[in-house]
Amino acid sequence: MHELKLAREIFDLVDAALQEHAMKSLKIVHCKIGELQPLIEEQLQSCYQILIENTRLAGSCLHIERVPAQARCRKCGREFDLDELHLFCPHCQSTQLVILSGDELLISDLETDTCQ
Amino acid sequence: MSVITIEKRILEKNDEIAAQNRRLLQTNHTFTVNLLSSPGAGKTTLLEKTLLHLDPLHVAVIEGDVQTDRDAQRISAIGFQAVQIITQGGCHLDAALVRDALNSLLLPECRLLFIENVGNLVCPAAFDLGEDCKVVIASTTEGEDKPIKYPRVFREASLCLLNKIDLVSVLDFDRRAFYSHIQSVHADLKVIEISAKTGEGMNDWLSWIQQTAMQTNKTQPC
Ligand SMILES: Nc1nc2c(ncn2[C@@H]2O[C@H](COP(=O)(O)OP(=O)(O)O)[C@@H](O)[C@H]2O)c(=O)[nH]1
Ligand SMILES: [Mg+2]
Ligand SMILES: [Zn+2]
Repeated sequence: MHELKLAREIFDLVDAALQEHAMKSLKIVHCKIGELQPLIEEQLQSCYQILIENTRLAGSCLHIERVPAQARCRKCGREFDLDELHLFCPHCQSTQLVILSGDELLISDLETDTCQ
Repeated sequence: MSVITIEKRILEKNDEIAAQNRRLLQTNHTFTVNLLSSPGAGKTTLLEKTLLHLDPLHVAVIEGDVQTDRDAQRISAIGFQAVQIITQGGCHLDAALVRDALNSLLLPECRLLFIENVGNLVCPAAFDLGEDCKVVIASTTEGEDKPIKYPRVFREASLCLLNKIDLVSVLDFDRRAFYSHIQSVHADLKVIEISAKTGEGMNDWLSWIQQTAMQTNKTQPC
């Protein structure tokens, strides 16, 4: 259940950003989470909803975009979709890979209502 | 509607503290190993047996548990510095908890630090603590499919200890299946078969520690 910890960190970062940008009526927090991150989206959502009750983030929700895992082979240079249960290059079988995406844990954008 | 792009890493705070921990440990030439496994794989027992070959003046242990300081007591009982972190329900250690524990250790004397993470193969893998490397402990009693059920921790580990190897025949543990799973999630991962009970594999594990510490810190741990 590290989803609770992640929800707390999201809360703190978003709260700070709202203050910094003097934003009101937050609607959506857009997150990008890599497919290689083992987490349960529903748990993250419900932890977030509980944390924002009676705060200035109340009424907002998380939009989670899962980022596909991709890798580049160090040997043949080709790029491909990564399957973490078969961690080798599908073209030359090399296991020397660079993971290009799939590990993200990011807050990308905040969306607000302008009609206040 | 208006949109503000912030592009923040959710674990930014943890990563900053982990980087501070790493600098502190490197300044002190303290080689640090983060031990990960499911509950009961044998982390504490292996540590107790490993410490018997090491120097109490230069080795310390941070114990992470959800409840109780039993594990730290087991380590103190054999004469080593041990600090217990109780996460009170938390399923993983994070960098801030480790920073607090580091404050109560005598680091300048410490060449080697083991951090026993909370027993869990999912959550601890997401949190950098500032360690030099992760060691994952699998045990024969858990079956052969742990690597494909928890690929992330096996992918990030620098070493896998396959513990309770004394039970391999009693349990019909399928070694070939285990190694083929390791092959598919992290082909270059070194595996040492070990038994905290009989001492099998202990010398390989001790030499791995010495060698990896030398490569990392350019000093002999003990
Ligand atoms: N047969 C056998 N039992 C072991 C071995 N290592 C640990 N155990 C037992 O496994 C149980 C859990 O060990 P413990 O070290 O507390 O696991 P931890 O939760 O990972 O710290 C204890 O009863 C140990 O005696 C081993 O190599 N062989
Ligand atoms: Mg233990
Ligand atoms: Zn290739």
